[in-house]
Amino acid sequence: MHLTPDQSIFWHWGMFSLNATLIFTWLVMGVLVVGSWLVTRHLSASTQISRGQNLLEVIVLGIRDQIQEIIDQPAAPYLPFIGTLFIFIALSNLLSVIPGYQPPTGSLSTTTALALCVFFAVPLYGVQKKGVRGYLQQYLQPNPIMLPFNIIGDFSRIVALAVRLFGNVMSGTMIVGILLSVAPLFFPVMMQVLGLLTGVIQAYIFAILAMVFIAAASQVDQRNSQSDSEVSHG
Amino acid sequence: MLIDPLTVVAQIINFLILVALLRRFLYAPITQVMKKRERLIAQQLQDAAHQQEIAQQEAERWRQMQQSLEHRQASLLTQAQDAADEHRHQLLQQIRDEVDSTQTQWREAVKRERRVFLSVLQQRAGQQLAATLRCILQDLASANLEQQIAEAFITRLNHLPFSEQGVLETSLSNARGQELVISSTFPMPEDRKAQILAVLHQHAPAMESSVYQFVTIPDLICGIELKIPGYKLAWTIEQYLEQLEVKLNQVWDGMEKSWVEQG
Repeated sequence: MHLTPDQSIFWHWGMFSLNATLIFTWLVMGVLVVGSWLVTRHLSASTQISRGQNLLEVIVLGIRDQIQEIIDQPAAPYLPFIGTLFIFIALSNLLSVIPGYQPPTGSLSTTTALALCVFFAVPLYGVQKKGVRGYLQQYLQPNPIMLPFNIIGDFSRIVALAVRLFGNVMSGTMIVGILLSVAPLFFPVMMQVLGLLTGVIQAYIFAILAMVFIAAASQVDQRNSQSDSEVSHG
Repeated sequence: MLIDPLTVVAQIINFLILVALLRRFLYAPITQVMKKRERLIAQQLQDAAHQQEIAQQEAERWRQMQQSLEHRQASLLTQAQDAADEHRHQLLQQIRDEVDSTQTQWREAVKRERRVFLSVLQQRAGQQLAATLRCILQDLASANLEQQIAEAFITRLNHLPFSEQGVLETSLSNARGQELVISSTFPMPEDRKAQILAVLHQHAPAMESSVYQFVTIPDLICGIELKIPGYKLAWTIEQYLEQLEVKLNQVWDGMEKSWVEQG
């Protein structure tokens, strides 16, 4: 038993290796893209819609509402990034009920990659909202002495994001594997059902935290812009 | 090592590709179609609101028409009631008039019949009374009715009040040259004729006896009557019967009055 799907290598060439993480990531990507394409080929604007369109609208609408609740502003700029985080992690975890499937989110490389995406998305959205100088000034708030702590805080939350998701998914997979060898009839099924729940919860937590980090930068930006406008008006 | 740097880089690229693909195939079409549906629903709501406004206007118009019809109906009903009341009053007044007219005609008829009845009664009663008196006088006093009537007439003629004597004498003098009729129910005996003429001669010495004509009239109710232009002197049972008629009329009028009061 491998601790991470990175260790299941199907093909190796030089320094490049094709492991299970990449294979199942592409599988999940394929399912998502092909499924979306199949459904969105024949969209209907009327009140009579297909089940697939209904499912996708419920998912997209739910994500959009969650984003709007957090940032209290239009969710359109954040929807692709946050929504993809949630959908990818959730589907990666849900597919773990398929025998032989290894969730990519059980790989610390995948969770680290997703956390790095969030790590870079936060300043990108912040800079997009406020500009480079305005974004960097928040590291000096409330006092320039806080600069190292703010930087450490950014890194630590990225590590926390990655390790939390990896730990939960990997532990679930490991528990099911161990229980299969100990009590193969009943408990693995229960743990798989529990795994479905924790998988969706972890996806929700990851996406919400990412949105909160981005929103924190946006809210700082809003507060500063409000104070700037007040100063300019005053 | 749990983290493979190449896998991390590959997963970052994979994730970015997935974001782009889902943006192309999922978020953009879904959000567009939802916006389109929202616009469609908003348009439908706007149309529905417009239709509702039109419907409310129509409902208001119909309500006003209904109120107008109700007012008109009430007005027509009131007019019909007034006309019916007026017609009813007219009919009642007409009926009252007809009843009054009928009642008046009936009363007139009753009065006529009463007069006829009393006349007949007076005639019959007079005759019957005369026959009865004749029998009574004959049975009690062996007297003749006609003789007693003549005696009574002569006595009245002899004992006229002073004022009436003047009137008689004036009338006799005015009727000079005319025939003076002394009518009676029965043939006057000659001795009684002479007595009457003697008395009349005392009042009018200038009058000759030949101007006085004694006439028998069976319709006269048992009595003697002297008629001079401007004066009349008589003794008949009719005088007593007239009193009876007066009494009967009083009783009759009293009964009629009670009938009228009883409705």
